Amino acid sequence: MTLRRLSPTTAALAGLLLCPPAAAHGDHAEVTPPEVVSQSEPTWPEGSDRSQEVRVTLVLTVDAQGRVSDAQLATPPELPQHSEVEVSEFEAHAVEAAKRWRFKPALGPEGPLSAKIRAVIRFLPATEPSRAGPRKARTGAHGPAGHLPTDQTPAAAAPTSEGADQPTDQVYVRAATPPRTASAVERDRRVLSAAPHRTASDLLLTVPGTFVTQHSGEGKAHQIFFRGFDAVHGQDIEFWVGGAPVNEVSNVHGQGYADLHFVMPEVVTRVTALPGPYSPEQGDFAVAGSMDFELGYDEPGFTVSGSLGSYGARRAFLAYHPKDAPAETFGAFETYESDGFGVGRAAQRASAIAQIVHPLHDDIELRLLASTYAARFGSAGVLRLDDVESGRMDRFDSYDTAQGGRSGRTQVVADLRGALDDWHFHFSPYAISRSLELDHDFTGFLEDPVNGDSTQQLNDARTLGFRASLRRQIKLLNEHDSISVGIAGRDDSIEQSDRLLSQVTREVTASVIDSEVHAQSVSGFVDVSLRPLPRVVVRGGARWDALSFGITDHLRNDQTRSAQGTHFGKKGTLDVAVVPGLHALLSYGEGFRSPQARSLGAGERTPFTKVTSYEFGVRYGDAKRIRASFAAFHTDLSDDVVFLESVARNEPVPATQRNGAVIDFTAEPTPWFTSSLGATYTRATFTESGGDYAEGALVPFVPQMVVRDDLALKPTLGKLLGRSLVGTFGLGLTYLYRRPIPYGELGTNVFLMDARVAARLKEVELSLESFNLLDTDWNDGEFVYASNFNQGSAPSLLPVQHVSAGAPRTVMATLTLFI
Amino acid sequence: MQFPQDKLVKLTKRLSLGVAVYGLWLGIASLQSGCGDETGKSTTGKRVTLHTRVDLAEVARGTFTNGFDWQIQLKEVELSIGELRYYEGAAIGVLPGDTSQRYAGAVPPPPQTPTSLFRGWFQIPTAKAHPGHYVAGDELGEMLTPTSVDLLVAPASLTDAAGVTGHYRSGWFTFGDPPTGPAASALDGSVAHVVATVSQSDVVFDVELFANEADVLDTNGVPTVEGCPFDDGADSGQAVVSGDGTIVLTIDPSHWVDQLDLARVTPPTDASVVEITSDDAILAPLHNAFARGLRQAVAYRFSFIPD
Repeated sequence: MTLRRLSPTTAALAGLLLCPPAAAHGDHAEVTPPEVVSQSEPTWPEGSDRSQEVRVTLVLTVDAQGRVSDAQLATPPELPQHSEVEVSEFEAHAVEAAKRWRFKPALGPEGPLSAKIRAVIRFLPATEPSRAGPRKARTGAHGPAGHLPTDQTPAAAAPTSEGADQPTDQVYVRAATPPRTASAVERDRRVLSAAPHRTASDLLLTVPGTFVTQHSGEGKAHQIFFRGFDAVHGQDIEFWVGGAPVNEVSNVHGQGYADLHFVMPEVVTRVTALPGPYSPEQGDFAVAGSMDFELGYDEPGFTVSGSLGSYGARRAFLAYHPKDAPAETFGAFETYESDGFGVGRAAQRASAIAQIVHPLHDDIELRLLASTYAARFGSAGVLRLDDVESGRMDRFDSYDTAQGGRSGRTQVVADLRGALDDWHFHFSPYAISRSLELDHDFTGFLEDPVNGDSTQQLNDARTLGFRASLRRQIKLLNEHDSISVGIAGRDDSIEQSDRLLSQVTREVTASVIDSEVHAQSVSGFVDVSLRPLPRVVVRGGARWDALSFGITDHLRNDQTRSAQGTHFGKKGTLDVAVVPGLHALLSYGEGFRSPQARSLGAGERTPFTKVTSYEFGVRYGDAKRIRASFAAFHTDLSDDVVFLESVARNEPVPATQRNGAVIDFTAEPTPWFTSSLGATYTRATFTESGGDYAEGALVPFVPQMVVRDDLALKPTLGKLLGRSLVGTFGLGLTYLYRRPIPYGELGTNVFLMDARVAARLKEVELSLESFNLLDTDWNDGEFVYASNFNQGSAPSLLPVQHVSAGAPRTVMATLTLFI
Repeated sequence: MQFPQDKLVKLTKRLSLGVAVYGLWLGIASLQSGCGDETGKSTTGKRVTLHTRVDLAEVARGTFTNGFDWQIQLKEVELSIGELRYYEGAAIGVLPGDTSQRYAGAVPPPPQTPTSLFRGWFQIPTAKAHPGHYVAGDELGEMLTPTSVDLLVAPASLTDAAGVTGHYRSGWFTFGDPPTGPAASALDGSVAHVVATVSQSDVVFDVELFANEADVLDTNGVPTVEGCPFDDGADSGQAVVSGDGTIVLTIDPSHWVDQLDLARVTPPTDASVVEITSDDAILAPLHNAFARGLRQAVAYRFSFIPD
C-alpha cells in the first residue's frame, strides 16, 4: 500500500538490450528480442522526498518463459547528497518492480530462449509533467536491434552496455509528494476496483475510518462519516474531483454539500485521503480531512458496457481512451435507471465526462476537463422505528412517496502545469454550475396538522475559481530543501429557497427561506520542506483564508447584509526515517469550517469553527508492495454542529474533541492478489457543556469503530481461443460498530459484504456483482427527533428513532466489450 | 561477531510494527474502557419512565376563601384529562429562587463580560422589565392517554409517561374531550365539573359548574393550558429528572373559582343547587370567571419524585 500522497513520478524503462550471448554456438543467428507483456509499476520509496531525477540501471535475465529470473544492479543510483538508506530503497524498489515484469521471451531459430536486457529505471520528481507519456506500460516494446544473437546459456551471459541506451518502452508511475501525516492514504485502481462499487462515493469506503450511506434516494449526496465526524453531506470533508471543488458553500440543504454522483467509479484512478488539517493546501471544510479524486481511464480503445440488475436496475457505460495517450485522456458516459428496492425509490441519472492532456511544450502540458450530470430521483424518506418494529410499516415502505429531487452539475476545469527554469508551476481555473431540488418530509404533520410538513429546497449555484502554485528547490539547510507558494480564489453566486408544500396539492404554502448569497474566498499559503538532518524532514507552513459573504433576503424586502472574516492556520510535519521503509511522523495542523451564510448578521466578523489537530504515527512501505501505518490522533473543535432532534437539522453545539487511532495495511505481493484492510476507532466527546449536551458525553451519531477490508484475486484461469482468460474475485467487507445516538442509546451495528466475480477474455468481460450479499437488514440512516405521521392524532413530541432502510441484497450482471 | 546490518534492519522493522500493533490494541482497549472514567461512555441523557399521579391541592380539601370573600367547600370535583406534556422552558410568572439554574438547559446563561463583571462588582442590579414570553423549548416527557379523575378521592394514578432526562421547568395540561375514564359519567360530556357549598356571612347555598371544551380553548383553539409551573417541591422552578420517577400533577381548584362573584347569585330558598351556566345572562359572568379560572396555569402544578 502506498501510504503517501503521490504526485507524478516517472520510472522509465529505457535501453532495452539483448545481451550478446556467451558465443556458445559461435554463429550469430537472428533473434527477436523479448517484448514487454506486463510491467508492474515501481513504487516510490516510502518517505523519500526528492526533487531531482534518480536513475537505477539494472540487468534483467528474461527466461524462456518470459519471466525475469534475475535482476542485478548494474550501476548504483545516481543520487546526489544521498544517504545509504535512500540508496538501498531506490535499488530495492527498482529490482522488485522489474522482477514482476512479464515478457514475451526472446525468440531464436529454435524457439524461445533466455536473454539478458538492461533496464534503466528513472524516478522522476513529483512535480515533473507527464511529458514522459502514458503512465500505463505499453506492450509490444521492441529491443534496439531487432536482430540479436541467440543465447542458449543465460547463466553465462554477461551484461553489457553496448547499444543499450535507446529508449524502447516506458512505465509511468505516480510518484509521491511527501506524506503530511502517518495516516494519509492513497487508493489506486488496484484497491478501488478490488470490490464492487456503485458510485464514486462508495469508493470512499476504501479509506480507513470512512462509512458512506445514502438515506434519501440515489441522487442526493451521500452522508459520509470519517474519523469520528458525521460529515453529513460534506461539511467536514474537503472534496476535490479532477481539480474542481465539490463542496458547495452555504447550500440550503447543508453547509459543504458535496454530491459525487457525477463521477462514474470506473474513471476514478486514484483517491487520496489526507486526514486532518495538516497540509497548507487544505482549506475550507478540511475538518476531518480532505479527499481528492483523480480521473482517468486506461483501457485502450472503446469500452461498451451494459448491466442489468435487481429492482429493474439498468446501466450503460461507454468510454474511450486513445491507446498511446496518457490515462488522463479519456471520455466516458453513463446512464443509469432503477425502479428502486422499495416504494418511492426510483432513480435516473446520466453523466458524461471528457478529459484531455495535451503537451504545449517540452516541460508544459495542459489538462482540460468537462463534464455534465443530471439526475432525477425518488426518496422514501424516513420511518419511525416504532412503526417498523410494531409491523405498522414495512421497512421498505414510505409515509410520503412524493419525496425526491433533481440534481445537476456542469463543470469545466483547465490545468496548466509544468516547469519554467527552476520553478514548477500549476495553474488551474474552473467553472461550475450546480442545481439542486429536494422535496422531503421528515416530520409528517407535526408542525402543520392540516397541510403537513413537506419541504422543498432549491439551490442554484454558479462557481468560478482557480488554484495556482509555484514550487522550487532552494538551499536552506540542504540542497533538497524546497518552497511552495500557492494562491486560490473562488466566487459563488447562489440562489436558494426553502418552502413548505401542501401534502395534498403540492402547492407552496409558505416560504421559509428565499435569498441570494454571494460568497468569495481568497487564500494563500506557503509550504517549506527542510532537511535539517540526514534522516529528518520538516514540512510545514501557513495558510491564510479570507471569506466574504453577502446575503439578500427576499423575505425581508430584499434586506441585505454582509460579513467577512479571516482565518490563519499553521501546519507542520516532522518526518523521521527510522530504517529503510519505516518512518515516524508527527503532525500538527489548524483548520476551519466556514458558517452558513444565512446565519450571519450584518457586519458580523465571520465566525469560523476552529480546528486544531495532532497526530503521531508510523508508516511502513517496502518494494514488495506492502504498506502499513498506525496513527493516533487528537482533534479539538471550538464549536461543532450536531443533528438536533428538536428542529430536525444540524445545529451549533458546544466544543468537541476526537481521540482515536487508525491502522491501515495493504498488501499487493503478487500482480493477482490485492488486500487492503483499514480500521479506525474514534471517541468523539463534548469538551464543554451547553444546551442539551454535557461535557464528557459522546457526540451523537458518530460511529466509533469502522473496519473495511477490500480483497481481490485476479488469477489467469487458462487459455481460450488463443487468449488469456483472467478471472476476478473481489470482496468488500464493511463493519460499523457502536454508533451512539441521543439519550444514551446505540444505533444498530452494520456488517455488509459486497462481492464481485468476473471473467475476461481480452475483448469480452462478464461480471456479476452483488451488494449486501448476506442480505443484512440494516439502516443507512438513523435519526432521533419528534414526528407525527398520523394526521389528526395527538402527536407525541418526544424524540424517537427514525430510520431509513439500507439496500437489501442486489445483484448486477454486466457484459463489457473492449474494442 | 558482527551482527549483520540487514538482519538488524529487519529486526527493527518487525519490532516497530509489533509495537505499533500493540499500541493500537492498547489504545482501543483503553478507549473502550474509558480508562475507568464513566464520562464519554454515552451520549447526554437517557430515556425514563415517568409514573403519573394526580392529586388535589391541600388548600382545596378544606374550606377556602375566594377573591370575593366567599367561603367555599368543594363537594364534587371531576376533571377530564387529555394529555400532559413536560417542557424545559421555564414557566412564566414563576420565579425560582436560584435563577442561574433556569438557564442550565436550553437557554445558555449570559456570558461573563467586562461590563457584567463591573456591574457585579459594584452590585448594580440588572433591570427586569417584564418576565418575557413563554418559550416551551424541547418536550421532555408526555402522558398521552386520556382519562378523568374525581379529585376528591385523589390521588389517582394515571398511565405511565415516557420521557427523557433533563431539566423539567414547565408543563402543559390539556383537557380531554370527550371525557373518558372513571369520572366520565359525572362529567356528562363536559371537561370539568364542580359542586361546592359557598357561604358568606349567613348566606349558604350550593352551586354547580360545568365547563365544556369550548370554554377552555386557548388562542390557538386547543383546550390546553401552557406554561404550568414545574418544580421539585422546593419551589426551585424546575425539577432535575435524571432517572425514573413519578410526575405528580397537583390541581388546585381554588383558582378555578377564585373570581366567582357569587353575590350575583340569588340564593335558593331551599336546598336546591344553583347551576351556573353561560345561558343565564346574570350568571354568565360567573361562568366566564370559572372558565378563566380553569385556564389558569397556576391551577396545575407539576412536580417530580424520583424512584
